[in-house]
Amino acid sequence: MRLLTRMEEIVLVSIWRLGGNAYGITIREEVAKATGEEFPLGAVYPFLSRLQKGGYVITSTSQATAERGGRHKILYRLTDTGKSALAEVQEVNRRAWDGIPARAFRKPA
Amino acid sequence: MKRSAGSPRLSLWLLERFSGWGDDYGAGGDFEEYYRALAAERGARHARRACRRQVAAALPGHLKNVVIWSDAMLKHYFRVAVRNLWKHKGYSFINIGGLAIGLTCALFILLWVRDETSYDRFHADASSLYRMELDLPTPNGTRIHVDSMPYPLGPALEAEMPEVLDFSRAENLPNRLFRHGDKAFYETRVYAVDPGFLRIFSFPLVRGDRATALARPDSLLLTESAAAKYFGTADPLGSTLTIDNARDLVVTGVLKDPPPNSSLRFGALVPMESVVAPNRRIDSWQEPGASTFVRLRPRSDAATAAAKITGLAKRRMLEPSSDWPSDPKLRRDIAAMIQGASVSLMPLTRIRLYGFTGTDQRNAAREAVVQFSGIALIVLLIACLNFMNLATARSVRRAREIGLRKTVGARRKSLVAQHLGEAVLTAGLAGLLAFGLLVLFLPSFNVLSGKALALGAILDVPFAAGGAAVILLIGLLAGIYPALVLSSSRPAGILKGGPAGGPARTLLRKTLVVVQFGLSAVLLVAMGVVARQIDYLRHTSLGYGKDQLIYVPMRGGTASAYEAFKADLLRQPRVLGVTATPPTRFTGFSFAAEWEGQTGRTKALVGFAAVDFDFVETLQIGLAAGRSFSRDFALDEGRAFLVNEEVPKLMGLDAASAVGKRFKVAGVEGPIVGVMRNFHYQQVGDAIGPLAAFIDRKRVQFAVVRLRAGEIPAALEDVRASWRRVHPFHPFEHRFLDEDFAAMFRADERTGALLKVFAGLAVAVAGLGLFGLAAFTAERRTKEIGVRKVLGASSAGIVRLLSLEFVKWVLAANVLAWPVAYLVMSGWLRRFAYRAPIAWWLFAAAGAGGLVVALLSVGFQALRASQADPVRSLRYE
Repeated sequence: MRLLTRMEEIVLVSIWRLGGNAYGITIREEVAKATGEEFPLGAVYPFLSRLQKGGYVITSTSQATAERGGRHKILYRLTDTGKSALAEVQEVNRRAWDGIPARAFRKPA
Repeated sequence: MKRSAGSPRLSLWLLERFSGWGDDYGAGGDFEEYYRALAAERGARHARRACRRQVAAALPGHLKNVVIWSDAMLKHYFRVAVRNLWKHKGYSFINIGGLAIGLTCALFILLWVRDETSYDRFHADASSLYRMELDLPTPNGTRIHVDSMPYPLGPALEAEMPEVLDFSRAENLPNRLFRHGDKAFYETRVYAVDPGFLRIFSFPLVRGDRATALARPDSLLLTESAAAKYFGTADPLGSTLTIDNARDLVVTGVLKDPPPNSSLRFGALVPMESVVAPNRRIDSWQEPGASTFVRLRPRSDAATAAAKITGLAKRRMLEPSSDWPSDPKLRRDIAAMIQGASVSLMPLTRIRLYGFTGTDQRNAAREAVVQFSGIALIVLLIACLNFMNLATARSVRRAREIGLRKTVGARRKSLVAQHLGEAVLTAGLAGLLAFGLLVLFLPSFNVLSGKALALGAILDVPFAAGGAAVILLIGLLAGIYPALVLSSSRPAGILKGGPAGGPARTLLRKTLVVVQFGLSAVLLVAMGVVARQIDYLRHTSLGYGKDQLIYVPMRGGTASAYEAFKADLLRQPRVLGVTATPPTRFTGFSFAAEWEGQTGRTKALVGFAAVDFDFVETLQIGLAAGRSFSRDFALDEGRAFLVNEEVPKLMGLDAASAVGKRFKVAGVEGPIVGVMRNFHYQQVGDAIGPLAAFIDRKRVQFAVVRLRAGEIPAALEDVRASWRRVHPFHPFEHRFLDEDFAAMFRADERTGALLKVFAGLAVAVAGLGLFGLAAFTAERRTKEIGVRKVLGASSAGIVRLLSLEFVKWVLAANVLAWPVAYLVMSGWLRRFAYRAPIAWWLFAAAGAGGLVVALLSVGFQALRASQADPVRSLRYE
């Protein structure tokens, strides 16, 4: 299986974290939290699109609400493929970082 | 559910529209929510600004994407299109050339039509200017339409009707002799007008003051070209010109020459009140009067105004005055005529194409426009059908390309766009070529059409936009079929080389061929009918000898010396005879006639011609009964009639018994002394009407002189010398009758010539198309032909196989076209009283012509296909 890119990984993790409430706005907030940077709203959709096409996530439609101008919410959920992809990334990360102490790359004080 | 006020709709819409993530990802809703959250947290203004920032940030990237991708694909499509055109050079040439020819024809006619419709529109107030027209009942029940109104009507309207803001009469004074020093000319276009003329019309003044130029009773305005004749480059303002060797007029202004698209074409203007036609009284409501133009208050209704004018005019015309004739019967007739009269207002801008005078409602300019537009449209239609047909045929060759494109993921939309785009591009090339041809052939077209059309007239925005729209439309129509049909086919089928053209497609192609050849056949038949009719008219026996006859206008007082001139002429050995006639072609006016033994209340209009002795002898008209005018009978001068054969018919008598009967017309009364054989005294195509000639040497307008054949130049010099001896102060003018005769056919000959050119082009284009189509068919059947040859088919057999199919369709086209052509052309012929019959062989000839073209184009391809080596054609798999 193809290894996820870094951004795909972060978005996927965010979706998992959000559980049943993952959609454009919340995903963006999670990603921003993780990266610590303001993240343009429009930028998440290409990743979502790619993840969906790759079969990592599936979508469902929620009820329309007034605060969204009468529009549906598209909710994202991890598929089994998505979960195993995350598991694989986690494993790869673990192996790649194995034995490297957290302070190794800190600047000397 | 309603959006809160102040939500940035535009930004959201743009984001949704351009992001492309729209509903599939719920982005629209996400943006809305994002905006609301921001608005709740930091205020609506901040939120809106943030939204705008997002849009601004997203747009450039998006646009770049669109441009890069569409640019790449455009370049690719363009390259494919050019390669395709280049690869099939012959086909491209036929396709583009054919359409270009059709477009060129259409462009020429467009130029023509725009010129015709531009008439009189250059006046600033054109939309509120009208010419008054009078519609009168005639004694024999028809109505006659004239554009001359009683002289006092214009001034009366201006005084009494608030809607009429201004008026001007305009009467063309025929042939005034103008003299300045030793320069003397007859000016044929002198208009007697009112001061209002310069106010309501926008003819620009080069010299002089518009407001006062016509104020003096002796003022005179010349056009630039007229002024140049008398004054050269000197300033004519304030100089005097002598008119008719009698009155001095002072030049008070110089006008620019009226543009060619003005229906008022004058050389000089003089004031109406002081210079009018001889023998006219401009205060009389009974005189025939002059053209009268009015300017109405803007937005007033012309029909209402016309009704008011009718009432006023009738009231004034019926007022008793000394102008009324004393004969009570005549008075009753005139009063009845006035009671039945009505005045209408013809908008100035419609005069050129809709104006008419006389009893029939024909307008030659509009007829020409309709005829030529029809012809040009047919040629354009043939060219378009051709274009479509070839584009459809060719696209089948592209089936493989389309299959491949679909396989690698082309969307149907882009395939359709590609084919439409290619067709539009090809049509565009044809358009450019057509424009080139237009520039190249404009001078020849001007000769053919007798106009001075300039390219500048059409080089404007509406033309460019219209041209682009037409090209686009033709391209789309030509491309739509292949685009839709081919792009919908399944790639697997196409790539396997399955049947690319179903029966539907072949049927379409054949229908198009039938229509093309049918239209060509109609044009060919029309061409033949027009040519034969002109030929027929030209060779009609006129009833008099038209050769070696000249006529000399007796203008500006020279009529009084007609006797002396005639006596001097008769002393010349090379002059065979001299007589006098009313104006050209003997047309006088028609009057109600009465005669001895008249039964019932039949009213009959009889043409009325004032002539001289020797009329019959000089013109060489035959006599059916009785005798010619003779000086031996004292009463022959003014109290005797020579009539044509139509008059006895009218009286219900034969020619011999009509002689001696008393006859009365237009106040002249006397016996009929002789009956002339019918001769064409009006247009040759018109029916010969009854005509009565009597002698009145005071009303001579033309001297007609018969010269000795074979010595024309010398004889002409003799006539000129005679004129100088009698009229030393008047220029000598003459016209040959046969030249005038030829001029009668000029309009019809023009139609004939244009028909010839256009019919030729139509057949050529249709032939070109068939040539391309046949090439295509032969190519598609290469393998079949190879197999046939291997199995022993002869070349002749193959040629027959390939040609017969097309020949069948061309024949069918002709059969369908014949009734159409027959109906159209009998309609055209109906306006001639004497017509050449529409011969059956014209149809046969048109059919044969189409067939020859079809056989030549198809046969060439068939022959080539049949000569090909079968080994090569079968091996190409």
